[in-house]
Amino acid sequence: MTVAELSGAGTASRALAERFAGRAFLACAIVATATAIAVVGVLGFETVLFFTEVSPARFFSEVAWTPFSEDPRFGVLPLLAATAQITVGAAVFAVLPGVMTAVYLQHYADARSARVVGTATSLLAGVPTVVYGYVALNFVTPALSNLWPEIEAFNGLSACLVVGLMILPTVVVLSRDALESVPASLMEAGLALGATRDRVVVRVLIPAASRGIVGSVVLAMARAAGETMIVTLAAGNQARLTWNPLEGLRTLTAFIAQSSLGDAPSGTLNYRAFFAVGAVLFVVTYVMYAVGRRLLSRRSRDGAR
Amino acid sequence: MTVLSYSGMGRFFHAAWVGLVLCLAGCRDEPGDAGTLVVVDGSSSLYALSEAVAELFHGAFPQYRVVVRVSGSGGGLRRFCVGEVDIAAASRTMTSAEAARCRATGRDYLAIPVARDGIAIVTHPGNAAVSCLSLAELRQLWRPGSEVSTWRDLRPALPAEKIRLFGPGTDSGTHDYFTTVVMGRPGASRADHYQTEDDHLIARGVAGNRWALGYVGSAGYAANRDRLRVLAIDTGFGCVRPTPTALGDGSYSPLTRDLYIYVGRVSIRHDHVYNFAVQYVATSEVLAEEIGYAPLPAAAYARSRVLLAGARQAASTPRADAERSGSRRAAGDGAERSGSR
Repeated sequence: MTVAELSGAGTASRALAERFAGRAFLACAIVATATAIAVVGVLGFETVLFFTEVSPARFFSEVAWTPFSEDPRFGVLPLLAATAQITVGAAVFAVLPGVMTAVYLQHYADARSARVVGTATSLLAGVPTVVYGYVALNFVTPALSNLWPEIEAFNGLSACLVVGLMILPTVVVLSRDALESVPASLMEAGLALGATRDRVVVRVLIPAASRGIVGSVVLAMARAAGETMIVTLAAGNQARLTWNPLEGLRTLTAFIAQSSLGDAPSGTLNYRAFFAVGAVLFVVTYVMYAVGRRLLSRRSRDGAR
Repeated sequence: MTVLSYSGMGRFFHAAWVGLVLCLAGCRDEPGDAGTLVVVDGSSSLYALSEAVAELFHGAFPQYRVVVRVSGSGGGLRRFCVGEVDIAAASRTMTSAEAARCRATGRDYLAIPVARDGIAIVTHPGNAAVSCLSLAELRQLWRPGSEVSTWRDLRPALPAEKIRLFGPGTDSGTHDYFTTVVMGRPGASRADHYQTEDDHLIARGVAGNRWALGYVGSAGYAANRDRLRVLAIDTGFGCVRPTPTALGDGSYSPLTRDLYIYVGRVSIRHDHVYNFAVQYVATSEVLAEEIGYAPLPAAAYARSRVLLAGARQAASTPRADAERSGSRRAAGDGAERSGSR
């Protein structure tokens, strides 16, 4: 056997292997795309069927959501408001600590503390949401009841706090990326003009990265809007229009999670209501993701401007 | 190298195939077939009792396995009638529609009453302002579209604190029963409260707020006795708490009901199902009160034992099959009658 023969055989089998690998990757890509199309298709199909029985006007204007009661009402506003409350509430708790952590990591921390803080942040991202849910239910709510004795066992505030904790790593990592992409020349120019380091960070670098920071917050809020387990466990299931964070509420996701366990035979109106609610959730999170991505992708150009 | 990767692939498929076959054989809990597995499904109100029976049964017959599921009374009976489970636990008797469906699939059954249960109205232990509610007040509080929001709305002497409400979900037999008795119509209820099929979540919710109120089956209350306070109910003859005595002698009526197990006549031929049903009757008689129910009169248990023994004998005689298929309708009716007492 000569060297030439060996390498020839090697080339042939490698070509075969590469062709095989190429097909395999294509197959994976097709599966992913087809799944996405099928999901949107089924969601859209069932939602359209739902709206043939419940008019969109009623769906978006009524303020009661009681699909399983003897007098079923399909007003999605209480669910939508609850999702908004959780999303905005979580952002309120996550934005300041998240952005400040990012600024600290990028501009103040030495290598060792940056590593420690970075590890701690990614640990937060690794906590399963069911654990967060029980933390909210068994730890946060009892602690809050010391401050507000009238708080309900299932309430929006504990869910907001813990969802805020859950989205914190997203804010930190993406905001840090945004800060990182601000050109070093801005910092140097600021310092050269005689400004202190703090002043440059607050007046120059953060404004320069603001677009990316806002993008990171919007993306984190999209995660909060889609969060299911924490709100299912901790926030309750009363679909009512309330802005009181001490009361129980029911988000879009929690409705799907809690009610699809029970008896909603396929083909019934209640079954289709899951899809209609799912479609609303899909639109809300998709728009937020799109906005967030857009803000993030433009940030380098704006930073350079 | 290619060969190696293919044999690796082959091994993977082999493992997947073996796993699939094993799963097909063991993942489903097919009643009767395995000969050792008893599947009980149905009402959450009977869950505590079924679990106690399963534990004792496992001690007496370690060779058999028991699975207890909670699909609600309706769900359990539905699965029972298509032969998916051996025993259905129900907090009510079968409706005529359910019985017809059962007969249509050729499934004869015995309905055996096992215990009496009450619906406990519970509050936070720290709420000393109220200790008794009338049926009329319950109706005012829970009716569809109820305007009652604070305790003062219910009774002017009570504090103007918001009532946080917790109750069973619409899948639950307890919800059906409560609404039937209190509102006069099954399913008639306000819908702006916390609803769940899980008794422990109701207990947690009520225990978590000083001005909360909820209702659960009496076993659900008994399991959470240390963190809840049970209210007395005035049905027109004074305030009565759902104690085992009050449940037994009917003074807590109408918020009491009998609980049943449904056993398939065909399943009784199998030793494990028959022995489990016998164990269920024996355990209920002894332990019902301890777990939070009220026992039935001794005569009811004696009759159930006779009924089971008779069905067992009928099922194990050779001509049983022919006879049963001939008199299917009559047997079904008889079982229903014996159940409704």
